[in-house]
Amino acid sequence: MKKTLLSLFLLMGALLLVACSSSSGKGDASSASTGSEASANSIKIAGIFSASGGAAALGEPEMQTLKMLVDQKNEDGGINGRKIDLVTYDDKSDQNEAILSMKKALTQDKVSIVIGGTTSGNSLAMLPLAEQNQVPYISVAASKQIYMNENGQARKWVFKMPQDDQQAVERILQYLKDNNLTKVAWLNVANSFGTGGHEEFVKHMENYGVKSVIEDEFEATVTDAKPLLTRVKKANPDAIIVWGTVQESAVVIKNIRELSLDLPVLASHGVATGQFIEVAGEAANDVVLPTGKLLIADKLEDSNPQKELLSAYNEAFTAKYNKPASTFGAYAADGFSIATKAIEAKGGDSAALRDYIEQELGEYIGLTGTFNITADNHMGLSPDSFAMVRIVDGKWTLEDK
Amino acid sequence: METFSQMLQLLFSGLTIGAIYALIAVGFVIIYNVTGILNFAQGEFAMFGALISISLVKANLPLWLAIILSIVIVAAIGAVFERTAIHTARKSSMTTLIIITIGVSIAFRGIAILIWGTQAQTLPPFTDNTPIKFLEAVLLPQNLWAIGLSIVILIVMMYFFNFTFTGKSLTACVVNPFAARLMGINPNKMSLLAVVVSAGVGALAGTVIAPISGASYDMGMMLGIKAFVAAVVGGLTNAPAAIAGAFLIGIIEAFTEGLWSSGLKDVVSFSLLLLILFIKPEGLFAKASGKRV
Repeated sequence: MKKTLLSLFLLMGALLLVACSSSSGKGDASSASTGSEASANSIKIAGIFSASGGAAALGEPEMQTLKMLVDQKNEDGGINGRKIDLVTYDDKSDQNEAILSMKKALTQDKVSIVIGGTTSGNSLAMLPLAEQNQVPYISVAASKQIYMNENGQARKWVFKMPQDDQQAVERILQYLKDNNLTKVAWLNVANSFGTGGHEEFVKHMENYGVKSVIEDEFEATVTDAKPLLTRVKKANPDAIIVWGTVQESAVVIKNIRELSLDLPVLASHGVATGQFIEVAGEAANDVVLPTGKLLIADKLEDSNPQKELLSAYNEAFTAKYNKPASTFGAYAADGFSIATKAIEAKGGDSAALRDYIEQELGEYIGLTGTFNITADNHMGLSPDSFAMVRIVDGKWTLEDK
Repeated sequence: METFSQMLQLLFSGLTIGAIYALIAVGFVIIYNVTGILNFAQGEFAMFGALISISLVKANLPLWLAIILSIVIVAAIGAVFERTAIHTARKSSMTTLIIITIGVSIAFRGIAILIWGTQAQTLPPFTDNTPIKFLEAVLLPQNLWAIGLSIVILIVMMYFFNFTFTGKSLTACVVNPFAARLMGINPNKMSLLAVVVSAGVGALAGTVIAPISGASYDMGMMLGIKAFVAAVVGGLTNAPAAIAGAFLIGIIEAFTEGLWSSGLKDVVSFSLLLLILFIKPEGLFAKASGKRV
């Protein structure tokens, strides 16, 4: 008898523990709006970003941007008088966490629309759930596969805010063509970002009359690329494209300068951060690269409709978080403003929101560029959403456009 | 002439990267010699060395002081690591201890993310870094620092292990710990000393490479693995042999990359590792002895 009592007691204790842990588990999901009155008066949306972990440099400004914009919108009275109830999740740069967060958002919180997926891996992991549950999902990661399935058709419930690597590569090719640099050396980092860029380069170079005289890879952990560059030197190109992210590109470009290869150097949009100038130092000067227009917003012509949007976003973000806005945050901002437009028109019904973004949104000017989302293209940006910039004395200057 | 200058350039690159591997490989050898443990957190000492010195330079300390301080700090981290992770588990099997070092290396990377984040950072070069032209090939003063320092360490280590009492005691501990204890050598103290010294040398490697390739939280892993390959190829029980192995690996990598393809350089160096393990497991340059690794 005593034993049964004891076991009952233990069982109760265990249940209590489970209850506690599940409520603390819910603690990751913090509601930004005051109270959780998920009534007809509010519309629930979810933001799932890698605010910590390996991709935090991207995910944190995305999360901060979304929180800032939702707060602003709610202070202004919400959308058509309805408050936005934002549920945010930090997936800690982990795919499993991302999937769990998506599941919670869709099945427990029952949100109308999801914005997030900081890295391509996380976006790809999350999107099957959005499709199964038929909830529109706006991704802020780069891979083409996010909005296109294996057959090259648009995924019904998924939209994507950043450009593909294709647009960046085409922008570089356009620049090479305009400047009559037709024999180029292509070097990419040996990871998915690098090989993805390489594929696009090979696919499109002929359209721009560009020929490669050497194509090769370097490691993400490269410490000295001079051996590779001796081969580049022998191939005698007109220009060198270094396609990678900050650290490895900085090493390769430093090495190019050290070998005094006196050639134009082009880099990917992956190095379009102040970090690159800091790490590469003097070697960064005269590097030309495509970038979103946020970096050079103040140098755009006044007639450019993006200029005002970009400056407003930059000012608001800097005022609130005391650091410069990043291109990644702008993806989240575009996602939110497109979602807002849809909610304004259609309310909280997921299917109606999806149809609106695909069919009725039309040409939409965002921070990243001008979106033309159609049934076939759930991304809708063109190469000219990138500007070509040149680094001069450690500052970004507009090269053309 | 052009081919000759390319060869020379490849040799310079190979020597530089070999020098970095050498500094880390020496750490592997010292710890292995004394405790019999393969310390897979060795690359992380280099990472700490690089990032701590960068932070100190950002705090407006002169470069030389920042480097010395960071070596001291990393040596202290090494001491804490030895006392808490190795010493407490010293009665466990070798495999357990090796897995502990892998665990510690992951923890170190995590700590580095917490402190410095994931962004790459850089350290100014030790001295003015104007490239030196030599027969059409380019050599940077920082490369000379790397090569010079590893040669100095090589000489110091040879002297230390062969001509000093402490060095001999360290060697005695691994040859026969029981006999060493009978001779009045304290293996616990020696183990601590070994980890502290190799942490310090690792930190030096980190500060040397930071101006060349930049530094980030995950730089230690690949450096550690390559240095391990170098140490095994050269001979794990012998510091000068490991350093020779490191230069060999560096030069082979540079020539593979320069004459063939950069994608293949890891294939070549790891194939060499397998080949050595099959044919001459005690290492290329190690003296054959009765003891097998």
